[in-house]
Amino acid sequence: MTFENNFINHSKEYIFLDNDILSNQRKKIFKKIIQKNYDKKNNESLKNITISDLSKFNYFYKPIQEKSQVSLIDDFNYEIKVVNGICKNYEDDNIEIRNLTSLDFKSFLNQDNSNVDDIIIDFNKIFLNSGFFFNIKSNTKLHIRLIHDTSDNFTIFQNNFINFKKKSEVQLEDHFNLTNNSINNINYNISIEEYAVIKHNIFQNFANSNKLYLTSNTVCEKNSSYNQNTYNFSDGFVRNFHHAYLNGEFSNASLYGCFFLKNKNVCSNKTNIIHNAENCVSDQTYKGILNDYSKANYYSNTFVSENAQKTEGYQLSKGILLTDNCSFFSKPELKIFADDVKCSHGSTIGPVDESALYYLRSRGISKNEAMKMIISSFIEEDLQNLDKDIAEKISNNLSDYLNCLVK
Amino acid sequence: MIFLNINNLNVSIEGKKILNDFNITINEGEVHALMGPNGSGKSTLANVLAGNEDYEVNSGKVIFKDVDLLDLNIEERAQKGLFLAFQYPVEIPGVNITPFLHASINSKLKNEKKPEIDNLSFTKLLRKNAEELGISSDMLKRSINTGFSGGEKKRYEILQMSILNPEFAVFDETDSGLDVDALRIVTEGINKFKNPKNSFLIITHYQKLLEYIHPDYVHVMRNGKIVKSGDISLATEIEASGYQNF
Amino acid sequence: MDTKTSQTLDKYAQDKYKYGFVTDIESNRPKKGLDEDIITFISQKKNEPKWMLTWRLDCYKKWLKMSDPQWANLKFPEIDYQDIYYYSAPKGFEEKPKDLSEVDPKLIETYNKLGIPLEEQKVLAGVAVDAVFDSVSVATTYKGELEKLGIVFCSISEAVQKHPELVKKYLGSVIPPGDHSFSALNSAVFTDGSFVYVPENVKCPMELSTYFRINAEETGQFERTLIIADKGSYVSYLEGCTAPQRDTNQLHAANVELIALEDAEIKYSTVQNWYPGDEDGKGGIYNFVTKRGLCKGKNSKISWTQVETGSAITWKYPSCILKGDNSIGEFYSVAITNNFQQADTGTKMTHIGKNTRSKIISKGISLGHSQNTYRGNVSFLRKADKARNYTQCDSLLVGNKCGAHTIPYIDSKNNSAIVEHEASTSKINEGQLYYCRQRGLSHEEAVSLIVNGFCKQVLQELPMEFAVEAQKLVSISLEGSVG
Ligand SMILES: Nc1ncnc2c1ncn2[C@@H]1O[C@H](COP(=O)(O)OP(=O)(O)O)[C@@H](O)[C@H]1O
Ligand SMILES: [Mg+2]
Repeated sequence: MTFENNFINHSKEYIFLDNDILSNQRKKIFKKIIQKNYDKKNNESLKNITISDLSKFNYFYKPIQEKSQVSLIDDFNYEIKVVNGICKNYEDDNIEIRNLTSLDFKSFLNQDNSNVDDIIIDFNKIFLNSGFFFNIKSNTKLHIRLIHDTSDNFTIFQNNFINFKKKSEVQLEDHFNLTNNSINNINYNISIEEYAVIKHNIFQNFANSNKLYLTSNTVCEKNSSYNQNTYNFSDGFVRNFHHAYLNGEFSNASLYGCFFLKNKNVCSNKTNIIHNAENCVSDQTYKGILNDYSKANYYSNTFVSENAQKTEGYQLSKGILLTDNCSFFSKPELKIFADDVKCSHGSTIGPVDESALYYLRSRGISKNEAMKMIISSFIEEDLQNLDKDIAEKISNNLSDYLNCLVK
Repeated sequence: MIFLNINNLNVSIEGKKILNDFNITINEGEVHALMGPNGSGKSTLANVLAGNEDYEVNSGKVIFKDVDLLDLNIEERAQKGLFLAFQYPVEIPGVNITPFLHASINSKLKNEKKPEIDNLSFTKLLRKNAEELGISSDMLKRSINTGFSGGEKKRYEILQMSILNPEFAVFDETDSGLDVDALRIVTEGINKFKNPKNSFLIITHYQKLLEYIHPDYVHVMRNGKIVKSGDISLATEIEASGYQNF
Repeated sequence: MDTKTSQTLDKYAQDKYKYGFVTDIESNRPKKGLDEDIITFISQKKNEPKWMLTWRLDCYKKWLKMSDPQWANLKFPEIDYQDIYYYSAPKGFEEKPKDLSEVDPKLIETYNKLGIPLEEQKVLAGVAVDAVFDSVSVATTYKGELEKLGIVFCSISEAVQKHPELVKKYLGSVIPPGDHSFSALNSAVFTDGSFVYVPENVKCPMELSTYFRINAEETGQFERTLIIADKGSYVSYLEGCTAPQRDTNQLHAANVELIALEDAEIKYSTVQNWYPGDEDGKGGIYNFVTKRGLCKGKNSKISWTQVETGSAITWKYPSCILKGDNSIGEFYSVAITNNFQQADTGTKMTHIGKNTRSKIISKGISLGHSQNTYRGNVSFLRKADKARNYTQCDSLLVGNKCGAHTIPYIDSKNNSAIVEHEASTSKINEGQLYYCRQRGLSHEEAVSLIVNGFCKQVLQELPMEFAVEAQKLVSISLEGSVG
């Protein structure tokens, strides 16, 4: 199915169809893509993406509401199941959950702060067929487990909004339960109010036939904190693009990620932190292990605007290439317009540290075991900051990955 | 001539008051020791004397060699003969001590309307003084303070003092972080340099240093002001029972 | 920013360009603009053989189809290629003068003012100089000594006549004319530049130096340099540049190609001090330079050192293609921008051969309203087993109206290759300033000293013979801090 056919034939499935502003926007973006009015070569949003995947995909979408659910494990512990982008409307003292369609259109437009310079987001805007809206109330302390359940062959274009109100303290987990042949283009707009402290763990592990394009745009207000950890063990294609805007003084954001690739896995990553206020701290760290014929890229960017004095911004990327056939591209950028800053980035790409390998083997550890030990130590320190159950889950996935390595 | 007189000095940093009506008088040729618990404001005093712009002088007067010290900027004070041996000397990568100190001494000589010292004589002087302080010629080739141990940094400060020949030197915990041998070398350096024309303010935590350098006066500082002054016996008292009696 | 810092900044901003004088000399130039006639005119002026003209015209045709590269972080009005003179020679230079007695004394005086004496009795000790004035090479010193060793050091026009086989073989072999629009343009209209050939196993005993000077108004300078180091040879080359102070922008689009054969080493140093424009950003040179070295043979080495202080706009990425096994590429750079200068500079290290190594040390200093970008590309191709790169790029910001940007591209397709990249951006350290001032140095001296220390790793790579000269050229931007 071509892009044009999809656009015309499936228009009934899109949401906010009757709105003039949005339908004009859709048409405009559609035109831009059809006329190829974008730079194909230097476009970060297209790196390691097969354009034909985008222009010719099988669009299939039917909203199913009944399976979605919100369960309370205890007073502060929620499990929310989003089925094909649809969730149950729900409200209590801590949280308000709505489907996007029940949100009035104006607040939708106001809160949408997604990057316009991204073709994946362009697609999201055109085909938008689902989404939800969470409102986490002030002063709450919650743990939210969010399960994205996409049925076989479904194509999801989802735009989500999460508002963390003042002084809320939340640990949010994203799990992706994808079975076969699904395309998931998911965009998050996250807003974090004053003094809110948010930890966001994203866990990706699904089969080869699925594709996930996950984008987030997070705005941090005064004294707030956002800490994102992404773990990608997927066989299917993953694109992780995460942006954070430090708009209030003394806020901080960290975007961490790890990916473990094998076979012909492809993974595209980008983190981008924009300092718009004084006294903010940011950190971007991605680590990747690449095996077999896998391929990855990582763009990172620290932007410090003129008035963001006393900024600290750090970046680090590390890639380990296990075979001769994998490849890793990284582009760590610093764009600095204020003078009172401390910014740095470090980046290394290479094989497993030979001297460490040698050392371990000289102590009688087999080469395979030694490899495993070195690779696990690569992310060990990151696991220490995580809750026990998620750390355990990651450890298990890691040992599965390492066992594949050895054979 | 008034050598050094500090009168009701009040200083704050980021709105927090640190020096509280601080007073002291130091005459030509005197050695004063300033002791006090951590956070009592000793380094603050040293930095205010040197002209550090982070500190805000709220009120008070500092007269040094008959001029109002507070009217001068950092380098003017240094050129006038004030030297601060830093508690934590900063590393300056890529900058070698020879051109640095040469420029430094010439700025002072120029200020005093004396002829500048040429490169060759300066290098000789530097080598000689370094040798006396047990500083190897290898260390002279490295960048200022870069990769130095704590003790090496302190010796480097004394070396600079011996070259610049200041009338008034402030030592901010120059003894901390030194082992016995280093302490001996440093104090020998100071003693050798001492003469009836110059004066010292020695900030220290421990009595040990004062066994090597005999101060004329010992002051105890707490909460931003001097609470007691006396002679060396004060230091012995502190050594025995700490600061709680002050 | 405290008041002292801003005072020092103001002082920097007021520092005047010392080489901004104009030499009152009549020049010989055809009409403005670019077409096949002008190219033919240049070729005829240079008395070139037919193959050279054909090559130029081919390149011109390529250029017509290209547009200027857009990816750099630079803002400037579109260049009007029809509003530039493509050839200008001091009158009386139809033939290159045989010796200095034939050279206009005004020209010799110009070079004396720049600190580059051309008279035989005053020539710089141990340095052979080729002086290029607008479009033509004025004088080459020490020619005799070099000839004894079989080293060819002459203007590229002369090389086209006397060493056509070398020129034919290597011209455009490292920078294909179709690479981008500036390389195509240069290939079509290049007027002069230097040519060096060092024969097998010869270590060139002196520094070779070219001095570029743009004098005539509205003139573009398109020089072409070609350096070939044959097996086992060594050469060190330095390029210096100045231009008069004018309030219009002048275009400079040079191409430099280096070829190092087996076991050969080329060291190429640049002290670039083109007129940067005034405090308001008016005038100055647009410097679009393509410099690329090919480590063609095993164990060869190419090292670029640059001190960039001038030009309104700098677009420049001296690069190394590390093709021979075990070959080495190095890039050392200091880029200082002030007022409204814009620099987008860096390097590209392409590792093709096994065991190839590269090192990048870049120091950027931004002052005033300037924008300073480091752009670097390190790539390991599939066969580059055990290749290594180390990159360190540090930026210093002085004042809060300027920008410092670091944009590295790192691409590895080989799992035994190792790349390490470090970068930092910060303002000048207040603690260091305080320390220096406590020792009696003025604020300005302290800034200079610290900035100089910051650049030390790069400055120490400049050849000894040029230390004084380089210091003179850098002193304007680093007033008082070199020394
Ligand atoms: N730069 C600064 N910013 C904020 N507080 C400071 C700073 N420097 C010193 N202080 C505070 O001032 C007080 C006195 O410090 P200091 O003069 O260093 O004491 P001492 O040298 O006697 O240990 C302490 O409470 C310290 O925390
Ligand atoms: Mg102290």
